[in-house]
Amino acid sequence: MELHYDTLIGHAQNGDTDAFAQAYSMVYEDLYRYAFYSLGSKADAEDAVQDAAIEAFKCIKNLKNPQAFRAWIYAILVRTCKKRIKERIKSRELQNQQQSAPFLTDDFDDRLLEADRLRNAILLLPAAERLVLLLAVKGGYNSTEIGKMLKIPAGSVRSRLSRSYGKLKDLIKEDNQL
Amino acid sequence: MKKETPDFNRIKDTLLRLDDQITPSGELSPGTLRFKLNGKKQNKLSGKGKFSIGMVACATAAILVGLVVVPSIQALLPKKTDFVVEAKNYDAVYNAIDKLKKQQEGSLLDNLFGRTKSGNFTNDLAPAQQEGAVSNDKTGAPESSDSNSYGKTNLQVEGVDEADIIKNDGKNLYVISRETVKINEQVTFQYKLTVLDCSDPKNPKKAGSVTYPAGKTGFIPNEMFFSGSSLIVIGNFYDNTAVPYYGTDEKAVPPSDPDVDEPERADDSAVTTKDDPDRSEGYTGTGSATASPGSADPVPADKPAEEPATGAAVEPAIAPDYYYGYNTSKVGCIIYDISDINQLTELRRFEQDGWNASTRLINGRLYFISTYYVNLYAKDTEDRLEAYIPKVSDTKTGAEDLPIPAGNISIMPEVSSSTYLVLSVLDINDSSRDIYTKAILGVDATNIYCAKENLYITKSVYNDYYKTGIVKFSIKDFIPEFVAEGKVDGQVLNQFSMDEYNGNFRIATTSYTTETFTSKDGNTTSVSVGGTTNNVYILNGNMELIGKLEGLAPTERIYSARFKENMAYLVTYRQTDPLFAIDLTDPTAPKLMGELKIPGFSEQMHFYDDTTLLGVGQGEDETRGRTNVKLSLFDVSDPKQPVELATAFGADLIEAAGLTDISGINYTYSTAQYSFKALLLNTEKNIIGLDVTIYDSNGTYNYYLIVGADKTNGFTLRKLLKTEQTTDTYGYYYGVMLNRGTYINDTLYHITDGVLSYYDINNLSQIGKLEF
Repeated sequence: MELHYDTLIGHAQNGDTDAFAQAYSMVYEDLYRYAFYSLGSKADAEDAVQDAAIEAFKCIKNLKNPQAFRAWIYAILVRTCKKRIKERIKSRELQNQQQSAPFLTDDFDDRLLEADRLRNAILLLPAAERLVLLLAVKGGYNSTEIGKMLKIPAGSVRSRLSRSYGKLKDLIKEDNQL
Repeated sequence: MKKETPDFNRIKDTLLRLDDQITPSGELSPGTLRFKLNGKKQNKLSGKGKFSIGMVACATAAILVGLVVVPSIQALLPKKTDFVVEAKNYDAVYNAIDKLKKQQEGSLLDNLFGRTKSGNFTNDLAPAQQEGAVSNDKTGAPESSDSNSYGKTNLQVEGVDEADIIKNDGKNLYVISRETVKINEQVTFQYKLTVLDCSDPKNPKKAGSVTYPAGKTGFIPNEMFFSGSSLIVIGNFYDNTAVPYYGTDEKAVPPSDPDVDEPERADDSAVTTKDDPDRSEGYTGTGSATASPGSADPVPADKPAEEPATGAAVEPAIAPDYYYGYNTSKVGCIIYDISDINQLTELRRFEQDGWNASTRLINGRLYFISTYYVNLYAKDTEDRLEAYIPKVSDTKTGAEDLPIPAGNISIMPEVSSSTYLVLSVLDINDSSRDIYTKAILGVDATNIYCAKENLYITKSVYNDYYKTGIVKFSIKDFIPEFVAEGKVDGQVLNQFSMDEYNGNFRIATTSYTTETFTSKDGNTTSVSVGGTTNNVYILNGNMELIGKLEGLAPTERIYSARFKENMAYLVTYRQTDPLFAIDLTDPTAPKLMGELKIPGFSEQMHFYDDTTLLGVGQGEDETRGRTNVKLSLFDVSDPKQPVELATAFGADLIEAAGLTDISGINYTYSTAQYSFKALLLNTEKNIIGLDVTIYDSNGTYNYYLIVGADKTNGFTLRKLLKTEQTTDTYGYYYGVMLNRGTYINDTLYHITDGVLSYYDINNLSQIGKLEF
């Protein structure tokens, strides 16, 4: 059963923080994972999600279709992540980050090591490709939806996706034994 | 359903495995966020240009719901007369809505802790009333027998017909299907209605059909009824012409909204690499050398069918709306004459404002319900008739966007939302009778349950969305009449959470545990602190609470409910799936009889026979490390001890069949999990039919299963039917929208988009195939 987005968003647009928090509760874990893969660190991801959520609450009146809440807040998160990435590039942090992305776990479990390689490889992708890839694999959006969210042509989305698959393909075991 | 490439699947699955490791700390919890939002001011709407009313995911509609924050003064047991006020004239309606608008434009900071806790609602019981027994609607009771035996729509209440995507009258099959077409080099979907002549069941023929072309305006059929010699197709009328549609010209980028966006291109330069397409216009994206040919669009399982693209060139943007795509304005129906099945003649079209259409057909009377939001920010609210009053159109009377008369509009005493319930009644077989439409301001129609003589509509309760209101209408006469409103704790899952029996109304809810917080200035507010519990409430004919059973399965929520006469069966889930059997013989004292714990959950429950429930849901599949579609049989002959007789995973049944093109199934699901109508049940012929979508390491497949069941030996797979798939120019696979089964006498039909396959119902050998 769902608390209806229509109702929750309507309340939220009137300043009801409870309602907004309810709607947020349905998406925030996904958002966090997206941010984590985009930015590479838990702390950055938490900051990004928090910033995005607060911005979403502030401009929730711009959400015209309550049913599109998830995609809408995702789009805000993508912009937030982009900003952070840009800031990092400017301060040259990103290069260091790529070389020493923290492991997810201390025990060197084979599966997680494999997954970690994938995670690092994702971080190595150019931001434009990475952000689109994660909207597809984590957000669950198709290229048309991603195009709408990022205001880029669906064809560009598809090209970015196919390029990123190409780069990541080698890192994924053929028999998917993870 | 789109088929993902193996690359996509591997990436997705790998990341999926890490999900449990990647969870946010308490810093991001909803409770913490809520406190961080204190004092944050909301921006006013930044919108320019014309707004239009619309619906559906990714629509460009500009409907905003303005809500009033009023101290809640709620009468717990409203008297019939002073409940819903009939508007004497339009001014009464305008005033109610203008009040909402004014309050919304007030200071928002005051709203954060300014509310008082909702009034004097309690769960105390009203004194039991002596209700005369009203006719029982026995679910599953056999209809008067025809000489034909054929598949009928699974109904919640016998005698109350529900619309479906396929209909079978024992002679013909009526089917709504989807096909792909190309418009301006882009593949899009379009829908069609087809009649399949099965007067000779073993030799079906294609009869008449209607195609609904994709375009800027049009109609999307969703489901239908038949009645007498009429076929009523329910759907959405959409009109995209007012809103710029983006998507056909790869170079064009709509202007961004400066209040919300940062310009995409200018800042992109810092984050793109030199071979990124956005750096240079005109790059057509041939992809890297290692890209697999025909890179697919990855789409995860649960996404609905992609909305068709419209083919016109991009128009200059008037309003930089956030989302583009279908802009559906109205819901409605097209009624065809099917006395000659080879020639479908359109008799009539009816439309009403709103969306989320719910329909029922009882004795030739069609009940058509939609929810209509008033756009409080419409540019032209000076014309309040245009902006505030819902409209209807009817080709029979020539009415076009006719505002509902004030005499047919009622206003709830507590209007917290600029939402109307719009309810229309059409007599299909008596064309001399005009359509009656009624609108109620303040009811948002979250679910409906329709019995033969009464219609129950749930609504949210502002300031208390942890509660549910229920509005009851009598539909004995042509014009529905408001009877009473009730209120209960918690939220309702779907129509099966409600039932009427012997004049009493039974409802199962999941409620959230809430706590009350008090702010510095003494105001209190209720906040959900997580945690759920489940309840059954019984209300009498006046919607007064006369019996309750609360606190079932704390921390879990209801996944399915089924009422039958004096029993209620509830499935709740967190990790295990208790099936609760509740005795409702004494409506003032419902009793928990028995409980059965099993892993997984059923989402739909069908009566396999009078004492056996067939559950369709998901179970915890340890071999595959995730949940997967599961069938279960429960013996409920002794309510104190429900017993699971048999269970099987769809994936196990399929793999045991040993087909070479399916191996290593990862994930399965079925529309029969969420749609009661999607399951075909013919116990006499030992047929349980359901669609299954399968993900294995190679891709995605749509199949249809014919499963046999035996109370001692369990489930067996009798037949596995493949569906055909189509590809587009990208080499992109679309699954089918339609994947259903039905039967006429000794012929079993499997229907998918454009293909009808038919089999001998006894030995399941294929007789033939018809493309349509």
